[in-house]
Amino acid sequence: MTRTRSFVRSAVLGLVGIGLAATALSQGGEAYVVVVNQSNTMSSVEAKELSRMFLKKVARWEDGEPILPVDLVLESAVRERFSEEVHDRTVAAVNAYWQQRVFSGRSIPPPERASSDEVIEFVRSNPGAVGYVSARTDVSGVKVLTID
Amino acid sequence: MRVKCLFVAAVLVAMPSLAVAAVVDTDDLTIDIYASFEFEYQLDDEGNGDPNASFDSDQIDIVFNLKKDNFRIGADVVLEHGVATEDGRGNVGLSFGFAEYAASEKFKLRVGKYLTPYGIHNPLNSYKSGFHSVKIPLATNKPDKLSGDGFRFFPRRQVGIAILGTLPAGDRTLDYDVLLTNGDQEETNPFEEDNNSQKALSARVVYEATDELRVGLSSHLDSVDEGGERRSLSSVSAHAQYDARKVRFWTEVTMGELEGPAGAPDVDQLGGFVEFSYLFKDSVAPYIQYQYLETQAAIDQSADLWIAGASFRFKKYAVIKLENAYVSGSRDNEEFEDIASRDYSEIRAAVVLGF
Repeated sequence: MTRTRSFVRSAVLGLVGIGLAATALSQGGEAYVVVVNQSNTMSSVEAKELSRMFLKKVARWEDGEPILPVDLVLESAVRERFSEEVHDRTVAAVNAYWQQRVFSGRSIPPPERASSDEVIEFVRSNPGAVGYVSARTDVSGVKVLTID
Repeated sequence: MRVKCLFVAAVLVAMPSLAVAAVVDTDDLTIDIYASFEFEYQLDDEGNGDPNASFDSDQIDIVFNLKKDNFRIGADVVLEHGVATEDGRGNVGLSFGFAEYAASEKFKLRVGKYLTPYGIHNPLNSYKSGFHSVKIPLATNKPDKLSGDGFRFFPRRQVGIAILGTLPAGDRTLDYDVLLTNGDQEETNPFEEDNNSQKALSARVVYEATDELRVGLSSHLDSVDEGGERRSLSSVSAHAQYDARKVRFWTEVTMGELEGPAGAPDVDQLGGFVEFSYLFKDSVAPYIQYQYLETQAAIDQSADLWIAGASFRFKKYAVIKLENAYVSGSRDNEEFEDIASRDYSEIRAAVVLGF
């Protein structure tokens, strides 16, 4: 009985300790648009399908072109909003998914770019590319996809 | 007890400052680094845990991936327990290292050293941000640490050739891995030379039933060195992972059969775990896990393990874990023969950073 009490007490203390340290992660982020290369024939995409593209669960566009997703860096407010709305997960959760894939040797995540302008450049240069950028970004030279 | 709790609290406060990591990232070459630092303290006087409240510079993993066209080299260099080779302490190892040719996402061919694709935790490597508990479940991954009769269902790593990929299954996907390897042995380095003509075969399939639910089967067939004899080993595992935004439920049941020594019956073994967690505020996840191990030998050497804890993701790349593990063994379990009560509790904590 003493042992059980000891177990319960230390477990509760641990949970309370961590709970006190917790702070709510900020929600929100910055509005985005999804962009693809000008040669891409699609004009819209479902959010779920887009999520699967960025998680590399689908590999090719309908025309057979390999899909090349490009992410913004973890700290990006644009990525935060994209992750919440498209993956229905926090950036941290998606990052954890990729780390599982990396540290198990299964696969590697999409390349990251530090700014929306760099994403535009990547998408402009690669026919199969898909990315997301701040809604305030100049998107000339790429094509904007609407999300169904 | 109060002194113990204060000590644990002080350790937890100090731990975040003790881990360092970095990352390099280009499109062709990526370097990911993972570091974990642990603390363990057995609460009872007797037990198989750590009565001295030890700090453990658990490991630093450095994963390299170099990709060119359809080819990739992947390597995971692991530095364990504060490596000091001049003193014969710690360990430097290659957790995995392979060359891959990807014809497509459906078919990839690899040669090299791999983590055995078996169950839930082994393919995750020892990457502790990938699961809640401080340690991977012993009942399914290291039964020999829970039971005097326990044997491992599979070797952690193997060398050989592998095919793997992701197949479409309706509008869902099916991941598969098939490995043909040297298997496990003690006479020669199994990562260099096979000491017998029988190859080991490992396979794993995981079906993504929904965005949240993955179900899988794994198997491993081998001939292993046990007590100076070669004995056949066959294992099979069923596993499921439900990962919703808030709720996580993981479970696995694995069964193994090890050929008995000459004239003796085969030894069957059953191990499993269930784990449930709920995520609060996208950062704190209390969890509870139960493990069970049964070896169906002449004497009962079963064991079970309860873990209650919480993991706190305080940065996108950083997690603190704290848990209490209660371990108990059957009366005849040799692993517990020095423990009068046949049970003990241990507090474990970890700080994990992965970039």
